[in-house]
Amino acid sequence: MLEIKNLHAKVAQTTILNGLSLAVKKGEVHAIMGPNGSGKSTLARIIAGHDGYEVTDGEITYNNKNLMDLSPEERSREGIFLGFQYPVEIPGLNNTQFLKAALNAKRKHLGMEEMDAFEFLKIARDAIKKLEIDPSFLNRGVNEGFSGGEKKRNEILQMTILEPSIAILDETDSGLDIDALKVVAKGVNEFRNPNNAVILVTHYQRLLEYIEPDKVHVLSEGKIVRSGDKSLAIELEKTGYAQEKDSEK
Amino acid sequence: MSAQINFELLSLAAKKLIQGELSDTRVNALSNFKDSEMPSTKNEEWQYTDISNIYALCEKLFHEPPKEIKSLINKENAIANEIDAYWVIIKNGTIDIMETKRLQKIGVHVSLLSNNLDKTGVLIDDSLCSLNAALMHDAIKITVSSGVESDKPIGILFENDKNLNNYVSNFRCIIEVKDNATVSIIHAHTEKIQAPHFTNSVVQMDVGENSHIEFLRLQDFSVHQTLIEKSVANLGCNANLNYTSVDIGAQLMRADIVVNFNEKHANANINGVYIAGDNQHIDNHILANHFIGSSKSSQNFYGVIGGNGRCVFNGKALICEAAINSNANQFNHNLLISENAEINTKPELEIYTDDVACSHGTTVGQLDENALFYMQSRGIDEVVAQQLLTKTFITRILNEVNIPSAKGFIENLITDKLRVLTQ
Ligand SMILES: Nc1ncnc2c1ncn2[C@@H]1O[C@H](COP(=O)(O)OP(=O)(O)OP(=O)(O)O)[C@@H](O)[C@H]1O
Ligand SMILES: [Mg+2]
Repeated sequence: MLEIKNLHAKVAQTTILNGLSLAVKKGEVHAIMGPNGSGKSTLARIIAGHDGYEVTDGEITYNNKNLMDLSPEERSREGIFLGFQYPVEIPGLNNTQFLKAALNAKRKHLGMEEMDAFEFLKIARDAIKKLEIDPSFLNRGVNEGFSGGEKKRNEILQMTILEPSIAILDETDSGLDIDALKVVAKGVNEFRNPNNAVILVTHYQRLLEYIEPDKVHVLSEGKIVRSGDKSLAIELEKTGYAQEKDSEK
Repeated sequence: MSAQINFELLSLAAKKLIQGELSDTRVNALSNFKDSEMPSTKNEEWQYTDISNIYALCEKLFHEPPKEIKSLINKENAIANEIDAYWVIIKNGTIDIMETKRLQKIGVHVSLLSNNLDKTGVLIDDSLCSLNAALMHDAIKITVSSGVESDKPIGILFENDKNLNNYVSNFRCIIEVKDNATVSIIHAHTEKIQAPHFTNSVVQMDVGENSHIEFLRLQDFSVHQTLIEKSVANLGCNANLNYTSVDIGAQLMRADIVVNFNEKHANANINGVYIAGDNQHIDNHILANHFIGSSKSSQNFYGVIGGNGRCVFNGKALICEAAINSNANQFNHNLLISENAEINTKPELEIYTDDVACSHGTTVGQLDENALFYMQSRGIDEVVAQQLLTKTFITRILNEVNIPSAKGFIENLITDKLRVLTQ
């Protein structure tokens, strides 16, 4: 579904991704771990189409299409979803209006009829109930004044409503209390099916107790330095990343 | 005297208008005009706004017969059909009797000024205001009796003669709200003339004790028109003014909004939005005169400027020595959506006492890149995302407007304008 080969990217003169390769198939859940500043969010943002990075080498294909040819909005409509590490506040823009615009953009792209406000509200209400979100969220500005954890839940709400093919969740577990973590994990597990895929960027093995990954990767200094199954996460929890950095040298 | 407008011709025009003896008011206005200077860019208050285009229009008024204008967009008072209000439409020196009677029933008296000019307290101060008093043809007075609570807003609309362009219109409203009254007023400048035209407008307001007035000023002229407007409000004890101005159109617009706090415990919110595109110039000058203590003024203006549009905001508060415990804020936020857009913004405070709380601030910015990417990453087109963010920025003003029936109209004006600006 998603194939990244030998990706090199830089910002200004700084190389951030340095020969990264990763292949994600339908039905899989991948976890990406790695030290602060190793390039995890950069990878996620490049996949979503952020234009602040210069890709100097390598390629990303998505369903056999060159992803680099698509604008961020086209990628989204084609089924790519990025759950932001730091979701953006847009004061004054109504959350419902925002979500409806997003869903209808996708439906239009897929040749489906746009949803009216009534239909949409029904879907949104179901989703917020499932994610145990306060209904008043729908009437507030996008992430406006939301707490850190509420913002993360709102990302999962968006994912649930947009039903992407691949969801990249950048530290969605950070800043969540124990109950919220369970709710978010439940949301992701219900989202999973044999036709979609999930990439979890996380620092904590705990999330992986709730969402079982098929593969775990360690990203360090701009590339994947180690891959394994979920036992790798348990090992990293004990030993940290020092060893990974050493083994690279 | 003003060199730009010939005084003899002005006097003749005034006499022709009256077709008889000039009233004392007009004589005063003429003599005051003779003694005052027209504003020029050498004057600090007018340094960014050049109004020399109005001189040619005054010349035409004096010399040329009114010309037929086929291009007047005749939407038959769209606003009066869209906003539910008591619409007082002033046309060729007449008003609709039916509406006047309806207003009379709820304690609001509307009259044309022509007969009682000298008894009405027509404000004559600067040159433009004098010019207005000398030449005003359609002028009305609205008196809201004590204790009146109007069930609907009162709309004021000056209509130009559909068949004739007189090049210059001088409109004046005198609004007197007695004590303990609550009333909403909409002043509409929405009649588009597709030819150069100068509207010189004066609004005088006296708000009595414990009265609350909601004032909405809507301007959506064509880009051939110039509007210069002076609004002066005198607030009584415990009076409350919630003023909102919306400027969408006009080639050149200059508003001077003066609020005088003459008695204690009065409060004024002076808010506004302006959206300027190519070849538009919009200038708002606000002055809150805190003559006495325990008064509160708060100015909040938002602007979106595109194309080579230019805007000016000057929000000033004067806190006199006696005005202890006053509170004055001035804020202006701007979004520049093109490279050549320009804003000159200045909040100003002149304070002659301690014990005041004042704050001010201005921002000039572009759209938030992070917010744009966030929206795009959810499938929303870049252009649509820009439009949504711009609209979100500017429609914040709607929260300040307490005339529910007008909100939709304002939102549509804004949406249509932004569509033109961002396409
Ligand atoms: N615009 C930028 N200009 C300069 N450096 C940048 C820019 N964006 C990212 N970087 C750098 O790239 C590196 C990778 O950042 P990235 O956000 O991808 O790290 P991360 O792996 O997600 O870290 P964390 O675990 O802390 O979230 C960091 O050293 C960061 O400072
Ligand atoms: Mg990160």
